Amino acid sequence: MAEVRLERLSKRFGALAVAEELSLAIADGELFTFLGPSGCGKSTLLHIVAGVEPPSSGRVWIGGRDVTDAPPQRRDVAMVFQSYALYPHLDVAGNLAFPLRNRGVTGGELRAEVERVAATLGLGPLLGKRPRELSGGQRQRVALGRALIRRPAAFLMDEPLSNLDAALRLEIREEIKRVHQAHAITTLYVTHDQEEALALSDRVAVLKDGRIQQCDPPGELYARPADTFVARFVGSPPMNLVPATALAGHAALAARLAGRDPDAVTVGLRPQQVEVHATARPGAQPLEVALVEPAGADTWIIGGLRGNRLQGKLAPGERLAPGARGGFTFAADAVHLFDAASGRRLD
Amino acid sequence: MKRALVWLGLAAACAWSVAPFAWQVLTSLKPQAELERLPPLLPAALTLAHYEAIFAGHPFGRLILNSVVVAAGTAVLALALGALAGFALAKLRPPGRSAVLAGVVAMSMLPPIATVSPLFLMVGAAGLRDALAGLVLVYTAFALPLAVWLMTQFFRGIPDELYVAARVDGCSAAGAFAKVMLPLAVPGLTATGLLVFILAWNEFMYALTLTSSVAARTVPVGIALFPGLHEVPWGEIAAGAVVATAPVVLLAIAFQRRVLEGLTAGAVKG
Repeated sequence: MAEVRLERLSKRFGALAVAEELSLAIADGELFTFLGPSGCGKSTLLHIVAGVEPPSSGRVWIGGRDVTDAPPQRRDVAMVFQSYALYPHLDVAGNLAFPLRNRGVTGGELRAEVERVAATLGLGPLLGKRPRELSGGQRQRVALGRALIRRPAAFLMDEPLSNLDAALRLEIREEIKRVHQAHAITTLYVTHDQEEALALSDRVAVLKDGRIQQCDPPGELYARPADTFVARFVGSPPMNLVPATALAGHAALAARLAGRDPDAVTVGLRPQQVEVHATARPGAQPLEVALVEPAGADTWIIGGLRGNRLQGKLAPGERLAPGARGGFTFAADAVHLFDAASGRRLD
Repeated sequence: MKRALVWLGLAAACAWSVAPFAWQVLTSLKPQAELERLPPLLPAALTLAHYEAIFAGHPFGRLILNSVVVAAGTAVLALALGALAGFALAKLRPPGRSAVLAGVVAMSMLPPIATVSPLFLMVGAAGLRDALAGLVLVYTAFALPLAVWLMTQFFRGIPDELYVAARVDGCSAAGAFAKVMLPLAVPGLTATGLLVFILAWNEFMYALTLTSSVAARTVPVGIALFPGLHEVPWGEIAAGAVVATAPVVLLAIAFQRRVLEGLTAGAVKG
């Protein structure tokens, strides 16, 4: 168990910047997530921490030790992969035992450890099977067990849920959270799925072009996105972003604008906090209904507002059809204000 | 109709490939008297006299032993070097690896005849003329481009994550090679080994140049030296050719699936 610290870390592949002067301290026992769009090089960050890829510049510290020049086998980290990366020529027991064998553990002690980890992950009956005989969920459990078995200083998880179908994803996500709560091992988690990041993490760093756009606990990330990129990326469905001028005349907005020039402001509204009505309400603005999307508990209305797309929640018990004209309202505290030019948060 | 045409085409292709070998087998079994007559195509009686002759009249057993030692030695050496090089090129991403691979391909284009004279001098200088070790070294040099290329493709087909996992799980680069990559490359090793074995087994020109006695002479050279001053012993040549070809054919049949897998590995997953 250890703190992981990145110090002015940079990594470039030609024109692609994976990290630009990245500095971060991940506390002992923290579950820290790198969240970013696919293909932005998040996995490379983990490879740098693991030591299989050298950084272009900067240092990596694990447990107070500068490991930048240490080979992977001397860093005491364990990794879980999207593709599971189980050793196909070894059975489950062999896969679990592999990291311990490399550290000279043998005989009864080895067997006891394998059985202990197998028991915590429900892998007991599978010990004699080969990876190809296992389902995706079982494979990822084995991969978790292989990472867990030697109680590493840190876990590196590279999109471990992305290859699983929806039901299994929730199950293994729970398993990861349970393992983390039970063992409190520092975990660096990489994903492109914001829901996963919010559900699992103590803190989330949103990455774009090798830079951290925002690094905060999930609640803060959702409640106060630092810029329009984070605002769109975190939360589902994504936040509405419309120019303040399109909402001109709305009392709740005017109060929040507090004299700012509406031309220089982009307004963010979470679809959950925009209520769409079929009937006229005081203070409502008109909305052209384009699409109606039932989603179980809620019904989403996607409409046009002076040329801008706006998504909101249909008020309970009301009905709207595409082509109709409705009205929408929102509260003053639902408003996020961003600078129209830079996209940075204004308040 | 279309199926019939396909079958007809396949049959023709098979006949085209098998006919010379079938002819050899027939010739090797024909009595001496019928050898230079046609018809009949099929002999009236079969005889093993030619086979007895090659083992009795020539040191053919010794030649086979030489060929086995040289081909196996070449396969082992080329595999050892080729696997290491292939692993390094595919997984360690050393700088200039594309240049190395381009060089490997370029080397395999080299016509053997261009190197016969210098190799003759070099092998002589090393004191390895007419020695099995000399042949093994020369064959290995010639088989290496093929071995390196095939093994590189093979290791490329093994997911990078497995190498990363092995490293993170406590292996050095060499440990990851031995404990994870090599066991997974067994089909590739089999295919490459077999191809190199056949290459060395069939080789004629270097063997002719670099050997001068039965101490190191291989089967193809031995057969070529069967003809005497006044006669060409067709029956014995045919018997020798059948004996020389049989092991290769049997190996190819036994490992057919493996070789095909090996040759197409990495083709799907870039």
